[in-house]
Order: sequence, then C-alpha cells, then structure tokens
Amino acid sequence: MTTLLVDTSVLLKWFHGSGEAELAEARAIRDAHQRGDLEARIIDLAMYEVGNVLLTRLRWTASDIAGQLDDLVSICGTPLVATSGWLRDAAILGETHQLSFYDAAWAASARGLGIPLVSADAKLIAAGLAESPAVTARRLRLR
Amino acid sequence: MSKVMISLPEDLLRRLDSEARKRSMTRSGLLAAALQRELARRDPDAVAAAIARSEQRFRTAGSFEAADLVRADRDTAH
Repeated sequence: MTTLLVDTSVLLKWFHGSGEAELAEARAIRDAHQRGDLEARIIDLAMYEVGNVLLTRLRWTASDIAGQLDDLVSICGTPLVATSGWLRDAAILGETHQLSFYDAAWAASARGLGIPLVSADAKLIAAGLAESPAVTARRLRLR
Repeated sequence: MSKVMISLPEDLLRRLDSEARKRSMTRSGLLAAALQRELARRDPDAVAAAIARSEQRFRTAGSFEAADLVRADRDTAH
C-alpha cells in the first residue's frame, strides 16, 4: 500500500476549506486514506505545529486544541518520532538547502521512511523535498 | 520486559533487519513499534467520526490558506 508523510499544511486542509488552495486534492488524499487505499502518516512535529497554529494564529480554546490533536491521532495513528539518523539527515538537508531544522526535519523524516512528503509549503516544494497535494493526487490517480 | 520466541519467514526477517538498520533501531524495537501500530489501527467509524468533528471545529475558523499560517509559524518558531 502507498504510504505518504503528510505535513501540517496539508493536514489543515483536510478539515478547513475557506480560502484553501488545492483543497480538492488534499481532500482526495484524505478520503483515500480513510478508505484504506493509502496510508497517511504524521510525525510528532505535526502535533506541535497544529497545536501552535490553533493556539497562536486561530486562538482556539485549550479544550478544542486538545480535542483536535486527539482526533488527529485517531485519523492518522500515533505520530512517528524522529530517529537520530533522521535528525542527522535533517541537519545535512538544512545546510544543503538553506532550510531551518524544522523544515528539514520533515524532509529528513520522509527520506528516512522512504516515502514521499506531501506538503503545500512553497519552500519545501521549491527545494524539491516535497510534492504538492495536486502532484500527489495526480500521481496516484486520486482525482 | 519479557522475552518471546517467534517464527518469521526468512524474507520477512531480512526486510525487518534492513528496515531496522535504516532507522537505527534494534530488531526488537522495530517489531514492538510495528505491533503497537497494528494494535492501534483505527476502525473506519472512528476515523469518520474524528474527521466530522474536525470539520465542525474548523467551520467557523474563517478564510485562510493553511500553508501561509504554517509557514508563518515555522518562520517564527525558531
């Protein structure tokens, strides 16, 4: 079965619609995951990023944030934790592509797992380290 | 920690060891992680309910592009 690492920018599109680009493609990935046609995984960094966006950008209540993070685990399973090897690779990728360690950690985790990283983040896509939801949906013929 | 003896096909064992090396994990560690994942497998109804609750929470979140929020968060988090 195809497995993907889905980053925070895509995860949010799974639930939020207004103003979102590539919404249909992100939802197609979510729906395929829900049907069991593919497996979407997350890393622990997703929990921190989602929590931070909900807390500082969207000003959600603590209760709603906790509920959302619980639901994320229900949907994607327990987040994967970076190994020391992935973290070493993140440092190399960050240095090579002039990325922050946070950005590079996403790409290094996908590389460590040997699966594609799906992201709507222009910086990761421009560095050639992630593919957009549109590219993934087209490649997997989800739409 | 209990020790157990299990039987695995040779090919599966080779793949297990190869994956464990790739992840800098022990064979036992990877097996435990895989088992935990299998046992935690979501049932479709629970996933559907979690998605419905999530959509409901975001319904009043307003209009924005998630990638912009995440990028802003990533750029200010460090």
